[in-house]
Amino acid sequence: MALKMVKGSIDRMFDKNLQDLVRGIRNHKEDEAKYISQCIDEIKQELKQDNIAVKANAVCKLTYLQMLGYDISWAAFNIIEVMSASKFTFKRIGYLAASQCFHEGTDVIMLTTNQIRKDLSSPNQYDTGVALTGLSCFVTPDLARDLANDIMTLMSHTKPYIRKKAVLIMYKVFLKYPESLRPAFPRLKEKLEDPDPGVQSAAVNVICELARRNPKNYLSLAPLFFKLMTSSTNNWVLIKIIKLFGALTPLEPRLGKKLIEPLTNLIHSTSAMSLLYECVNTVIAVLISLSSGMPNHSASIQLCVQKLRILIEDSDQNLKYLGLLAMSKILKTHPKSVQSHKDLILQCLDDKDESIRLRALDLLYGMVSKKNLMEIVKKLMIHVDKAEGTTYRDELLTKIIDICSQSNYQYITNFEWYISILVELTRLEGTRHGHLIAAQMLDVAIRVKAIRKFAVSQMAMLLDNAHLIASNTQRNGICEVLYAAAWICGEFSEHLEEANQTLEAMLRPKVTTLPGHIQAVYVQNMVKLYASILQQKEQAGEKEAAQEITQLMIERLPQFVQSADLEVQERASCILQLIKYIQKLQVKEVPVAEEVIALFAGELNPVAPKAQKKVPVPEGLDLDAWINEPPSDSESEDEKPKTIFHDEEQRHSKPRHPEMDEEELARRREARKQEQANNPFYIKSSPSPQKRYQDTPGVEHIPVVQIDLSVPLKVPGMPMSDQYVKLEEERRHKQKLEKDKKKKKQKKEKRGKHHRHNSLHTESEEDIAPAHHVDIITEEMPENALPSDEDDKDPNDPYKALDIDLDKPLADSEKLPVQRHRNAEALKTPESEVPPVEKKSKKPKKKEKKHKEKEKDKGKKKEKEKKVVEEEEEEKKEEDLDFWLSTAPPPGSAAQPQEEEEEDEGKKSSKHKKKKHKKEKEEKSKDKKKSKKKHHHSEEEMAESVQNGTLDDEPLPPMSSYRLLAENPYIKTTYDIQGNLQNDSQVTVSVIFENKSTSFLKSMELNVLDSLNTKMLRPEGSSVHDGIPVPFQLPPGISNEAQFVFTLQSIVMAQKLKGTLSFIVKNDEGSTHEKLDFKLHFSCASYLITTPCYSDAFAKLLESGDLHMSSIKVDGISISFQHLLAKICFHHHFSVVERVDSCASMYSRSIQGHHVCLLVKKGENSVSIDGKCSDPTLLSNLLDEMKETLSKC
Amino acid sequence: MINAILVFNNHGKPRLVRFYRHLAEEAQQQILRDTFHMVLRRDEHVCNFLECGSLFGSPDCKLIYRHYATLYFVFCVDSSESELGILDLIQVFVETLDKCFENVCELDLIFHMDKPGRILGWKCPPVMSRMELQIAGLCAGGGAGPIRPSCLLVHYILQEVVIGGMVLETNMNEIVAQAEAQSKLEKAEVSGSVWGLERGAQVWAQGRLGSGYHAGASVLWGGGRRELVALRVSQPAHPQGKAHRVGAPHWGVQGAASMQVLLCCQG
Repeated sequence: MALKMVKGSIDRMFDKNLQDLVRGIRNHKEDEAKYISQCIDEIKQELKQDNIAVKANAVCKLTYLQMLGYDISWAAFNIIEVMSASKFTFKRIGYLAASQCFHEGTDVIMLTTNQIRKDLSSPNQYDTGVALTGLSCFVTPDLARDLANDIMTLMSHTKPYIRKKAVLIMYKVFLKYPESLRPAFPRLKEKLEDPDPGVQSAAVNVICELARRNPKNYLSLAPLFFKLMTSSTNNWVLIKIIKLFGALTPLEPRLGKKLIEPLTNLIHSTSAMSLLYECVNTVIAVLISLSSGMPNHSASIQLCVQKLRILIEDSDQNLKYLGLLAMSKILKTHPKSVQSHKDLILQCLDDKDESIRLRALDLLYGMVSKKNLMEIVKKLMIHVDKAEGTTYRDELLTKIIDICSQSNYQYITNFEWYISILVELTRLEGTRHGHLIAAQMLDVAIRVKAIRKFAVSQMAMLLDNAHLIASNTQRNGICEVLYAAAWICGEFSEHLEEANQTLEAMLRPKVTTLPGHIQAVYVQNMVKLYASILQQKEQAGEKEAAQEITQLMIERLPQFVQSADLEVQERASCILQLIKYIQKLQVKEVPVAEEVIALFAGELNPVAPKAQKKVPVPEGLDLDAWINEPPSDSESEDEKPKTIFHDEEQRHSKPRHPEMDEEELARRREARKQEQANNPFYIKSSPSPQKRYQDTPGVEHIPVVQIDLSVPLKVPGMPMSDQYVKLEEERRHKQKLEKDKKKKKQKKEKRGKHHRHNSLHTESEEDIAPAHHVDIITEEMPENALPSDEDDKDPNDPYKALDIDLDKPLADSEKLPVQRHRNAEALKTPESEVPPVEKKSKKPKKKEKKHKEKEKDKGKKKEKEKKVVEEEEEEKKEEDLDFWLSTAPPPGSAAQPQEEEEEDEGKKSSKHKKKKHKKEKEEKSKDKKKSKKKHHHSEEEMAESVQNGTLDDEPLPPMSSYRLLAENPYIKTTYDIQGNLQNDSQVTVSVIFENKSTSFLKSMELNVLDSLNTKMLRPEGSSVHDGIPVPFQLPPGISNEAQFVFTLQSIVMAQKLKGTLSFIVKNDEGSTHEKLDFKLHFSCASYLITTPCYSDAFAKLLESGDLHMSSIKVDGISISFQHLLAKICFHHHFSVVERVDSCASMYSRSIQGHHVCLLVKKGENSVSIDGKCSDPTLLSNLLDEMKETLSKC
Repeated sequence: MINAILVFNNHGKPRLVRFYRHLAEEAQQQILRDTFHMVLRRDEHVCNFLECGSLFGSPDCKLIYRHYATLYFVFCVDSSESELGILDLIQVFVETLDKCFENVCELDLIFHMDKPGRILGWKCPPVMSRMELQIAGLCAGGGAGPIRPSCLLVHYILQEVVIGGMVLETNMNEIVAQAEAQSKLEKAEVSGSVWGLERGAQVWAQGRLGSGYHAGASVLWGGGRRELVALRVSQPAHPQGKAHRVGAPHWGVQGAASMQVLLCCQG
């Protein structure tokens, strides 16, 4: 033995171990991949060996390779083998590998269930520990369901090491198998007060995770946590609890009030920065949740802000970062108290640490006002110029845009300034956010009508300088702004001063290097431009100029027609044709401008992003219904591709629309409006409360303020937004002066008149009037939009499933499934199909039996009590929490009501009395409830026992339909006959062969002597005298089942067939040929198939009158009626139709379709059975068989 | 919840990769690379938090890391963890590793006293810290035999600190105690199998050298694939009996030859 071991060890010497692998990879730096694939081949060889040590070594190496990014899922089965090794060393390796690579998609994972269960119950705590650790990583819904109960048991393990692991893993189980949460929760709660701090911490950890997702379900635990918070000294636990309170306070403001004091104390007393920080955080959460001020409200805020300032000023960058993070939370509700620290925050923008700069940026977002927006943005623009690294610069860029555009451009007083900022931003090299700038440009130009003129001039300049933007391919991101520029210039071309110049800029050959979608917009918008130029020229009577511009278009457009981008090509060729036609008309001196401009008539209104979604579906509209039935396949095959292009060309040559005269156009427009009015899907431009200037037909009606054109017309490339800052300052100064004057003049006049009528700007910073009277058009929403915001919720949220009411009492059906030994026999009886789950699940281990049983009883009682007085109970719970919340916490004491009372005794008597009174009252009511509960309890128990008595007072004896066929010292055969539903003349005989000897049985062959009526189905080509070989061999002690099919003609009579089983017995002495004769009995019942029947159908059947009747009576029956019926059902294949007291009707059907109806009545010690059947012979035979069965009882 | 724990060196070579949510290997490597690049960019004296945004697909994710000499320890956590708490936890983890590896390292030194600067046959770059060597799996670990080099030990120690993404234990003494108890358990199992090896070596020596020799074998270190067997052979008849050392963790000429003889003898 020893030698064998040595040899094994030496064999293994030729394998690499993990260390060799690590070293080898280092030494093969040039051809690492090759080396590793070679190693994987070796590993595959090693995995094929039987030696578990070799396998473990191989798995070990695989774990390492997995870390390097190699897929090792192919070895999942080997990993399981190593997991099931008996040695801890190997087991650990297996579980580690499994935890690294197993997941829900691993199919072999289901093979691990029993192994894990075994390891969980191992006497060695480290086996258990390793299994738990592994399970935490790869638990699947199936594993969670199967093992939940085992893990729950481990939560009360004697070793704290196991307990804490089990507690933590329960969280994973809950996630995968939410049904386990309710049954496991009481125990989890219990663990909050575990004597071991590690277990306690684990329980806190789990509940915090749970509560973070669904806080409202855990509100009732607040008193318990409060107690923990005031008693625990473990900072980890404290941090978790304080974080949890942060999540709970928004739901219960009273809790917040209660928390403020102990938290403030902690803030003052603790030396641990982590704890201090979390306390501050939770205080902030509390303050946010408290809508109405409490006396020391502002004091708390001040304390927080002050502490945070200390953090931010700290030299430790971590504290600085966290300070800023917490500050941003305060900002949301108390911006004033943060704004006073603006200096500090702006300082942080200069920090060398990017994380800190980003945090500071976040804060800036909330700190801007109308007053300081320009200043802050100016500072940010400086940072943009200075910034190294595109990530931070891009972040700055998005922040600038966010800050400016927040709450509907609330803080922007001068949109010209904003447009110039955007234009300046386009000079950023290599930014990814070109589309963001573009979106802003579009948004501002569309929604702020007053700014369009200025915007258009700026955009025209951008287009003119497009080469600066699009020159460098690396600056691809920024060329998105040209998209916006082109669209704005086209759409609002009426504001364009030098339309000709812009059009030429858009027609430059360089444009064709732009991305396709931008070119497409170019093409579309140059027509808009062209149209407006045309109109201009025609009105001015400059026909030649108009023709020139047409000529220019015709010359330049072909470059777009050749574009590789389909969209560009299509638009360009379409437009080219159009313009060619216009040229023809121009030559004929027909005025065309009006008609061309009509192509782009009408205003485009901004539409809210969610508008489409919110259009209500009108009644009677089924969106899933087919509009046209989908064509069948054959049809679509017939359709041949048509010569699309030819057709299209023809169409192009005959454009119809110029024929329409103005009247026709107007008529059509009117018709379209009518149609739109009736069309529920058209987003109408009817006035909605959000909109003001909806019906103003043009821009003319907007009070456009004069714009100082001397400022903006500058060559881009020079910063100009700065000038606005100066101008703004001057302006404000002037305004102030004016105001002062006014004030002096008309002191008593109300200022309300000076308010802007735009209600969006509710914040009254009246001293800063905007430079322009600007109207920001809000985005349109459909009328009667659905007020749903459901789309914000993710339906696939895994934590949603854990939103479970934990206070409701546990129902029996919710018990965790427990592993049971399967009783094959019992399973076949219909009554025992519902296994006694509860009893087994509560089977305690011997050790803890007594204690547990007590506990269990308690639990049981509680459960029942709860069930009965569920509502009252809930009420009470609420009351408890209310009571706890309503009392102010005595400083430093635990908050349990009882304790409080004791401590309060020495305090003010009036308060004391009051409390006592309340307490007494509650106690009384509790007593009442208790007595009530007891009453209910006993009643229910009785009711239950009664019910049980009628159902199953004693378990059914195991029944088997297998009857003995024949037996000798070697072999035992039993058989069962089942009708075949598919074939009315066939039955299947299942024979179980059991090898009783110590020899090997082989070459078994079964043969039957066929009768006229009944024949064995033999393979084709074999004669009636050939036997059928049994398709297996039997080692000693093994049994197996084979099936044989028989055909029969008549089934009204029972049949008996003689047969022989021949086989060879092989043992050490040699082999012998043996024979076993048998008789196969086909009872009439075996031709019946259990068929359910409804009572009304049954009644009809009996009424029909074409059934023959017969009856029997059997005396001396002692078994219960229930069992009797079960026996008939089981052995004779009947089903119960109806049962009234000790009388039942039953039904079955033969394979050839005979109906068999029974009426079974039980008298004292006797049973009478009346039968009705379409065949009298069958019926009498069946009844005879039944009589035989019953007489055995 | 902790989403992942990554340990890598200054060159981005992974030393420990532990994800608490299943991700395909490629995705894991991508995250590793991204994290490395993000962390590498940062100066020494900046804060230890990094907002990684899209890295894990959820906005609620933060990288908390510490840099020790040649190693980065990175924890990816969500908002339920306290930032400063996790920083402390990293410190606890690293100190625990230091404690657990200490003994092993002494053993290494004993074996390789004669080759300063060379550990286990390859040249150790001076910048590489001792800790990294151990974590890289280049030193033998745990004292329980080569079947479990230290790169697994790191995992095992981590399992005593964090399981399933949740913090299990923060008390260093407790972590060390549990880790060592399990190492002991492994050693016990190993020595069980070593016994057979020792007997085998003795039997071989006596058979090979004749009854005149007295052979005593002891396995210095073994149980896995490569055992180190010290075989003391003495001949009572000759007072100047020699003591031989047989076998070595790497193939010394003498060791290899003797062991091959041993193999032949068995074969």
